[in-house]
Amino acid sequence: MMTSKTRVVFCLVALACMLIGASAAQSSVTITLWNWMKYEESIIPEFEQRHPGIKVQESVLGPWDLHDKFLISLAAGTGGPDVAELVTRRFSSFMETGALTDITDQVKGLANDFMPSIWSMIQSKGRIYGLPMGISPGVIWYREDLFAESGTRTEDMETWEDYIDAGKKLKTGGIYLLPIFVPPGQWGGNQFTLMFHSRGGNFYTKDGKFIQDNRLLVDTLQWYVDLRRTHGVADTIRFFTPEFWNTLKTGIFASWPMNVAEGVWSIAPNMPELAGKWSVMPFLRWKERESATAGIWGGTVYTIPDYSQKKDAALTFMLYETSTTEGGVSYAKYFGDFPVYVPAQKNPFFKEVNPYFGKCLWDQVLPIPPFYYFDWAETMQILGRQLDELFAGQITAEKAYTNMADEIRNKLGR
Amino acid sequence: MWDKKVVPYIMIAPFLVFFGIFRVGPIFTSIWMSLNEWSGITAVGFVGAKNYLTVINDARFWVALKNTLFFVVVYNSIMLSFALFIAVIINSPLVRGGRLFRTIYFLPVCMSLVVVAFVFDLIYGRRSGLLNIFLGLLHLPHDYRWLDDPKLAMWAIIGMRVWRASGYYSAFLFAGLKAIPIEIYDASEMDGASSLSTFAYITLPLLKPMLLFVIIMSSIWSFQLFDEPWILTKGGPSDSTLTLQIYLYQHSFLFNKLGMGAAVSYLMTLLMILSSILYARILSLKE
Amino acid sequence: MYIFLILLVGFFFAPFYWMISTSLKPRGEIFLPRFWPSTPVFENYRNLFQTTDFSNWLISSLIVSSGTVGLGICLCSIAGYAFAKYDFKGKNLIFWMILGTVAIPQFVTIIPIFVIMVRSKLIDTYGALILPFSVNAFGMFLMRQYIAGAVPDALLDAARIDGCSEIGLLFRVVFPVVKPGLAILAIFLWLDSWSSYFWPLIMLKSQNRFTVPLGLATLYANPWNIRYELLMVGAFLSTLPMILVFVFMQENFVSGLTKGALK
Repeated sequence: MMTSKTRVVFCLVALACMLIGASAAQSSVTITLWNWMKYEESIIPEFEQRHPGIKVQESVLGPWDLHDKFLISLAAGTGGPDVAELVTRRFSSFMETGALTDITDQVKGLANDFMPSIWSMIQSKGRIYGLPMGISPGVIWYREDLFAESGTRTEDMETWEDYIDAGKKLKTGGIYLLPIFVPPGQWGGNQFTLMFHSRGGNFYTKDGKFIQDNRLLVDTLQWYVDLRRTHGVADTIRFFTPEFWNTLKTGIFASWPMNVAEGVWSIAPNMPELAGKWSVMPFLRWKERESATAGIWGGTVYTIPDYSQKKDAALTFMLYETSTTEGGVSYAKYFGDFPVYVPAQKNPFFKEVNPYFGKCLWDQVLPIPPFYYFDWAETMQILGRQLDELFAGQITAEKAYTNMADEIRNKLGR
Repeated sequence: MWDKKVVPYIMIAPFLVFFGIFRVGPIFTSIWMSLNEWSGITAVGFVGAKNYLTVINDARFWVALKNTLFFVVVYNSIMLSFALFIAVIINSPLVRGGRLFRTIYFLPVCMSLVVVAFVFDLIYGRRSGLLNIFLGLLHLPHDYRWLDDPKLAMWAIIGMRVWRASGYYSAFLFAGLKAIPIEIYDASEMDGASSLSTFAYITLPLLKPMLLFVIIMSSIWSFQLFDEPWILTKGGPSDSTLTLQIYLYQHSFLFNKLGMGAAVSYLMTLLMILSSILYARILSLKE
Repeated sequence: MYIFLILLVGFFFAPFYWMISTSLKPRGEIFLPRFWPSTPVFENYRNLFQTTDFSNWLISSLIVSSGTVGLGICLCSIAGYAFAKYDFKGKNLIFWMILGTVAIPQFVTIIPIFVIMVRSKLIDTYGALILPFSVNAFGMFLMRQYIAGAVPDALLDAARIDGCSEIGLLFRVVFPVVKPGLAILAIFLWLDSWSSYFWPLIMLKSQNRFTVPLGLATLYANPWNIRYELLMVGAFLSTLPMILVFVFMQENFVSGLTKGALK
């Protein structure tokens, strides 16, 4: 039987417990996320349900604006988010600023769950500074009907030589095989890299040295410019302009080697009337290689700046996005990109057949060889300049390569 | 008490205070930035003029300088003459509905640059570009790649900007013309002067202050040309539309070379100030 | 002469017209070269307000631009008057130094200014935009040129003889005469602040404070899903305040002139 004193103490203790419990339940951390893909309606609610103590406030910006703004905040040491979405190829430059958080110890156990060639892209000198979310691997989008009409059986196409042969047949009907993007400095260089990467090529070694005597690079440059200047199967066009979409609609280009997200994001919505005519196939094999592999057009990496005060919460969010099956499937579902997290790739979602194309898009994704990005913006600018001159017929592929090697040595010291 | 000597200082004080905080301080900081060696985004040591020398030794800097100067001279000559012409015509007493015309001519500069770029993409397209179609209708050669040809791209940019800016500057010049009292015109008409000589000897001199303002403003802004060539051609093809500002942006934000970026901007500043002084001398600024 | 003016109308207006007509097109028709959509759809307009923060962006821009014009007119015209009509020690030096700063590209000063703004807690506020925009060196230069041309010294001296104080001169003599100049200044400052992109991009963080250019940029943030139709609607609507300001200021031109300076 409790005395009145005990009762009072009991009540006080119970009250104290309730208050502590209530405040623990209500205390939540809010992290800011800078994104160019809007997560507000998809991944964030799912995450907040799983982790009630963390709220995510999202700020959506254009990708290049985001990089500019993020860089300024890194230089200023303040004023930025807790998590930022960056483009994979520019991630190495950001790692070299030294202003990102080293998360090696927290995530090194996850190495085996991620695609190895991509896992190397988030490391600098053996330390890990971010987590890869997704990649946009290359596939070939093509007009089944146009190829058939010109006498090519696409099932028989195996190598890029076969591809060019098909292009020559299309040419007799006045149709181009593929677009080549200008200005090279921005997208054309990226397109070239997509093809070069698929061939297992690299500009730099793992340690950031520009590869000397790179016959593969010279040969691929030659191959690339030959598409237009020798075989005449490609035409240059400005990327993502209304004129470009028109050419796809009106059948001026019969195929488009590009990332796997295009089908869902641009081809199907812009050309509903061509359903069933557009199809997709994996990248073809380079003749000197044993099997076909694909390159990546781009990819996303998430990172935590070192000035963030909420690193634990930020890391929890990043881990949810990048290292869970739910995160990976959501990402693919809403954004059309391929998650780098291997267990997520095994989810049945990636076996679904796309109604517009009549095929499963994800089946067309091939293994990705390793690739090393260093000082990528400047490298692409240097490459772009050489591509311009190459396509204008002013230099040879060999000269383009030596020019590039010289400039990279002088300006980047690599 | 508030006599003539003190009052001007009081009047410029508020402007100077805010100006000092938001403009001057950062300028000194960034000058210091240009004199340091940078490793990515961290300053690692004072190196004096090294960044400036690296910039001057870079062939691309000279390309950018050449392109920028070409643009400034050609674009301003075309655009300002055009703007003056428009302003004079609208100001003419023979024209009614001037307000409507002025408003319509002002529209281009109200449109967001993104949309303008989009529209000019359509105009300058190769196959379905409106400009080429128009030329085709006139039976002129029309397979031009306006934005892909190094010889044409800068002209395409000039065209876009002339379209955008003429109406805007003509509004300034119109205001300047309106400030000239009508009595002066009456007087010269009574003296029997022709309209052309009236314009040359009376109107233009009285318009000088506003004209000088417009020329300097447009020159300084066009020297810093960035948006149009960046959005349409990213400085290409073959660096034919590479301007100094694009060169700066690339080094500071894309290549992570903050020291070089700062050095470029102060070289630009020097050039702009020198040319402004030159302009002012030529037009003999008088109070 | 009218022919020329009308041709110019076509020249300047065509893209504007195209923007309006695209804003009314259904999605599939955007890339087709049609002069007018087959069936104008107003749901693009509805969508813009419902699916985006457009009304917030508009309000933001209105606050920033009105603030800039209000503050800027005071700062620029008073300082411009001082430089135009007074002689004082260091005048030319100060004037040309101020003007020289406009020759300094904003890309280089953005980092130090960013630090200042963060430290003074102005980041992500409207003040971070209004204050720098209103101390516009060109605005001050404009007023100085205008006042130099439009206000004769004789007028000022006459008023001084009448016993007017220096401050009184400013409000009672100069101000009425320079109204057209103020109108142009207002247009200039409004346009400069309304269409500014890089500065607000760096200074603002909260999405609901974004000004219109930033907000519209989020519509093409995802390169794979550019909402062209919404973009056109937003761009068109954002020209309207600008046009209103312009038209309204034109009134001041005319009324300012009928009063005249030489009485």
